[in-house]
Amino acid sequence: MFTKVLVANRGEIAVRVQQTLHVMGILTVSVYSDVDAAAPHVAMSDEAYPLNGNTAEETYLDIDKLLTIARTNGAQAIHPGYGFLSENPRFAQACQEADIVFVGPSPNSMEIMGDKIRSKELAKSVGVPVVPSSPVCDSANPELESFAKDAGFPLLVKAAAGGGGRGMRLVTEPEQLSRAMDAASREAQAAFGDGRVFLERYIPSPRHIEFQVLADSQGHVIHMLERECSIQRRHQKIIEETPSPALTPALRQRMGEAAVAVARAAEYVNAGTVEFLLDPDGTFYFLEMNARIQVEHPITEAVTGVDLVEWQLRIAAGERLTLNQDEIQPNGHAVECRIYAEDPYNDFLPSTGTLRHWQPPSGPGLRLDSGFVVGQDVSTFYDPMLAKLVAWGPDRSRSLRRMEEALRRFAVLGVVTNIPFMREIVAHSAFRDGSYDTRFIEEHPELLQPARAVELSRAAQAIASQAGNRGSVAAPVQGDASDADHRSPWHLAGHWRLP
Amino acid sequence: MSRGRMREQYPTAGQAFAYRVEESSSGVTVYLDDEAVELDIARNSPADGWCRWQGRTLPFATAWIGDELHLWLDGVLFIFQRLEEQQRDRRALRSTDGGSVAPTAGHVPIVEDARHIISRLSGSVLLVSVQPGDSVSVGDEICVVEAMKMEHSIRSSVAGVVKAVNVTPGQQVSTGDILVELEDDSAST
Repeated sequence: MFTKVLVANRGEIAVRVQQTLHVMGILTVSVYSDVDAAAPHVAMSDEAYPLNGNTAEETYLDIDKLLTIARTNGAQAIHPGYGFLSENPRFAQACQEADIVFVGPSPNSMEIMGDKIRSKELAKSVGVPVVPSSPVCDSANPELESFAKDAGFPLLVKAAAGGGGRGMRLVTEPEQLSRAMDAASREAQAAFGDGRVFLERYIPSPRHIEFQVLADSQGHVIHMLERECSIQRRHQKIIEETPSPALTPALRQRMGEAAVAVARAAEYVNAGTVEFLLDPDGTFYFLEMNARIQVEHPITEAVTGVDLVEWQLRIAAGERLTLNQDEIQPNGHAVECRIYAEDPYNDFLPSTGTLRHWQPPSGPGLRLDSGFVVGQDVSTFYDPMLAKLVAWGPDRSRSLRRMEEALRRFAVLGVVTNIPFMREIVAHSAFRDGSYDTRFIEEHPELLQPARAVELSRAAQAIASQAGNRGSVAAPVQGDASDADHRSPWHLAGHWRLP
Repeated sequence: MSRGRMREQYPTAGQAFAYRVEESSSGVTVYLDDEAVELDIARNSPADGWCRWQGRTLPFATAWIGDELHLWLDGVLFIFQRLEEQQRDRRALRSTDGGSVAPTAGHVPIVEDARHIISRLSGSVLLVSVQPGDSVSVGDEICVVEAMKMEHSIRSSVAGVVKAVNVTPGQQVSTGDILVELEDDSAST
């Protein structure tokens, strides 16, 4: 097993990975941009090195800087987290050449899975149904027209190198196609450095179901059940749950087998996620495979009791995967809400500021993964995700009730968050009965009304009137930003509470 | 006892409301627009605690951020602006005849009489558009005041001839301050 590992990432995932590294007795090395110098992922690490810069290119995407730091300081492996270089084959290759273990799949399987077209070809080759798509093309390509005619409108323009909804456009009329492709291409070029796009048939009300896979270097591949990620806003997942209310045991088995087949065909090693679209008629289609640990992995950990990051490290160290497929059964139900510094009542504009009050909820079944502590600045340099809140319960109903109550008690002041919006979703009858799909938010505009604020308005005014008397807050209390020492151990104890 | 005016800005931009907080041996009573509100508060610290509202216990936390009061209450964020703590009296800043308007104590309604153009907000004067001897009509701009990070044009609701201008650029004004005095034969419409 490694004795020292560098975490090439920041924020909540860098905190979370280090938590497991420390549990395993492994020394951690963190890296940081200028604005991240006082961040929790840095403060908790055993060794921390500056990346000298602030843009992603100068810092967390700088392969040379990362490898130099790893080599100079004796890190035997690098955990890439998610985003940044986690799915960059050049980085994985460079690690290999520098004799540093990359905690993830091989550069080759990463390349195949990173190419949305090639990965579909691979899936098709093992008999897994795929969403029909065109080859990569630009708007001048004649093949385009024939695909569009076969697939019909509406259809999707997607980025070949993309993810997270960027470089994606829905086209409803043939006349819009050319312009949509150009726009998507520009966005993809800016986001991923690769402007290639392709067309894909649009499935109108799909559910997004993904399967976690784990594979060791000895060819043993299993799936760790599914996650339903259909609650999305502009193609970004915001709430995930497992098990999926949409799957029967038979469907789960078929989809799980398909996920394993795809991973095996790519000779995939380590943790990955196979994404499917599920049509209301029960047909499923392979969409893509993500060759990294995912944001929403905690819900899988909650229902399987497995530490996925621990397995990533053990597999990377050459150990055998000792979990058997038939042992993988869900225990209870888990749901995750991604807490963002965004204003749901103003078109989700990002909110910036200093966290003046930060009091996450606690209680049975709750877990919080966060890269923020009270007193920290929320800036526009990075993704506005403040935390992931997970609620496990012995059944779906209780996990959702625990989540609703946890969202009610999560106190944040200093930035606007999407917490009230998350709560409206979790409480909504259509979410509660499990009958939702990826169009849920669009179809329920009432979610964007601050209904609870209106109910509480009078009470709020009465409390505000009394605060108006007192002027500014005087005495510092724990959980209050006026506490002078943000770096004190009280604030850096980590935010992962085991269920 | 303390009083003032606030306005909810977030999530909904609301109407201004007047508040009065009376502390007595039996507790605190809050009046919103003169109506008593049934609300008990138990504080954990000056900045957070619980309130009893309509049979439920709701957690809350507050923070002043700049000149805004941020309140987290039962999972919902509110932002308020304090408009004016009306304990100050209506007064003149400078008067050409050496006298001044008699101060009145207590709650001062903003009453305009035909000779005074008064400020309806607090802020700093950016520019003054009139001088003594000018004729003003209803709707003419008197001055521009900066408040709440925006520029507000203060317009006359009376017609007349300017007798005295009491403000200069850079000066701070408060709600109720007399900005401009008009000749005695002025009339409002």
